[in-house]
Amino acid sequence: MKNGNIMNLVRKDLKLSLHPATIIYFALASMMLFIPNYPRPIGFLYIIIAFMMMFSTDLQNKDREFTSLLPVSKSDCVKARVITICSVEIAMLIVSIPFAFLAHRVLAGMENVGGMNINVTLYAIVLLGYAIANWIIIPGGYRKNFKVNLRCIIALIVFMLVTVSLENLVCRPMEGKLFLNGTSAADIVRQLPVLAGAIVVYILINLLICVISMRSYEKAEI
Amino acid sequence: MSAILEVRGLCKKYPSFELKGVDLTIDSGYIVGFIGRNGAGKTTTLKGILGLTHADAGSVMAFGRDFRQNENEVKQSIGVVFGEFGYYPDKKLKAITKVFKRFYNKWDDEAYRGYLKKFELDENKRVKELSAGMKVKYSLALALSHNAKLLILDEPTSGLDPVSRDELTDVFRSIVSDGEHSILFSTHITSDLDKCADYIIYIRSGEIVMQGDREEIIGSYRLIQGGRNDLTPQLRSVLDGIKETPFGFTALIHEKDLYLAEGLSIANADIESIMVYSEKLGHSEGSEA
Repeated sequence: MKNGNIMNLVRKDLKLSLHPATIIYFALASMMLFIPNYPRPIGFLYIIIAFMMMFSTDLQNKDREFTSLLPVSKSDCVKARVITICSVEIAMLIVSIPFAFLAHRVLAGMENVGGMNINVTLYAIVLLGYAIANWIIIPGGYRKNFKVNLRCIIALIVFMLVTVSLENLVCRPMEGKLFLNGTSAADIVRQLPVLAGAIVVYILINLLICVISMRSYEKAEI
Repeated sequence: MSAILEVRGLCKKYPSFELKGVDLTIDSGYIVGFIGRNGAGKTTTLKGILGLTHADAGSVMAFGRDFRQNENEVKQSIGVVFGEFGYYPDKKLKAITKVFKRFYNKWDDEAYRGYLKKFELDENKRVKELSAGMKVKYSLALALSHNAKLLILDEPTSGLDPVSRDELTDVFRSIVSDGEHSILFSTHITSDLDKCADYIIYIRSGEIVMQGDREEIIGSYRLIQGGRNDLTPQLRSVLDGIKETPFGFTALIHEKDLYLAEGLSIANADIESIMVYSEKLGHSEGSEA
């Protein structure tokens, strides 16, 4: 029943808490890949606004009060929320992959003067950006006096700074690191360990977020 | 009678308020009215029982099991209504129910349909489109459809018109009529309890000051009225609350002390007068202290 409860809570978050406008931000990430001369990670930033709306409407909907009356533990509530947010982020990245291939073909031969190319490194950078944004937003949601809008604005700014800085680093010709901005099959293969490293960091940070948030929520009074 | 909820020594200290060792027992098949003025500690007690706040001390046993140790299992058999249903105002009832029912092992769809019909609830309506009374009824429909044996209702009739309140008290009576369900019903609208409560628990300044059978409590008090000269020191010392005017007084007196009120006008008390006069006594005791 424990895992069943977490899945039921994820379903609750998706059906009752996730803002309907999330689908727009979801689509935006894929569509913005087609914009020429554009900093690539920025298209993936907008989903953070959807999470801001999610936490914000939770307050209006008295979601915390509703959930506290259900036969579920506080730790399950936190786990479910982290799973929901990570699922949306990962689903968005997965959905954008076919569009990334398409955009790569559409923009073939055009150098991206606005930033890096569309490749596996881009996804690694975005994952790191999401891990940091989640770190800023989620634990705050389980503390007293959660200023959701402020935290989300900070998360947006930090996401932008971190990802664009990493993008600039990738674009800068560094000895032996040129493959990071490449789009050839050989370069993509060499980028896979970078993505694997980003996935590990993403998972570890989100696990830590879970632990910290659970501690805060256990202390919270409703 | 078997106790389905037993609270012993529940304490919770806030900077400006303290719950002082609350003891209460709810038996199966009864409606228990939990009364007290605003800020007396009704909601704090209910939240403490449900573990929504961290009690400083005390124990809560529900259905013979420790609430804290078996919270998820116990909550399967408890339905809670905190005021009207104020959650997810933009969502349709059917969307909320679809999510809600997955958490309960004993959800009964047929019973739920029955309650929707009985309460004339339209599942396609959004929460914000329901009247205050309908919101309470929706909460009850959810609670009863997962076969909750104990309903904990915090001020469910506050803000309702008299007709809706009357309808709800009828609903409460029909819920407990099978002897399997119990209701703990906090309110400061004591007239609702006159209609439906079997037992009364009265909390004042975070302390339970009275609990027992409603009829016995009502039967053990009288309201007396007299002129200023009738208020002898001996009589004053036994009164459970007094209202003085320039012309005389009215007061609450225990039945056993009635012999001191011979010759005075005597009337039956009700829950409201017991609460109002007791609050005056509490206030004067507090002032003396």
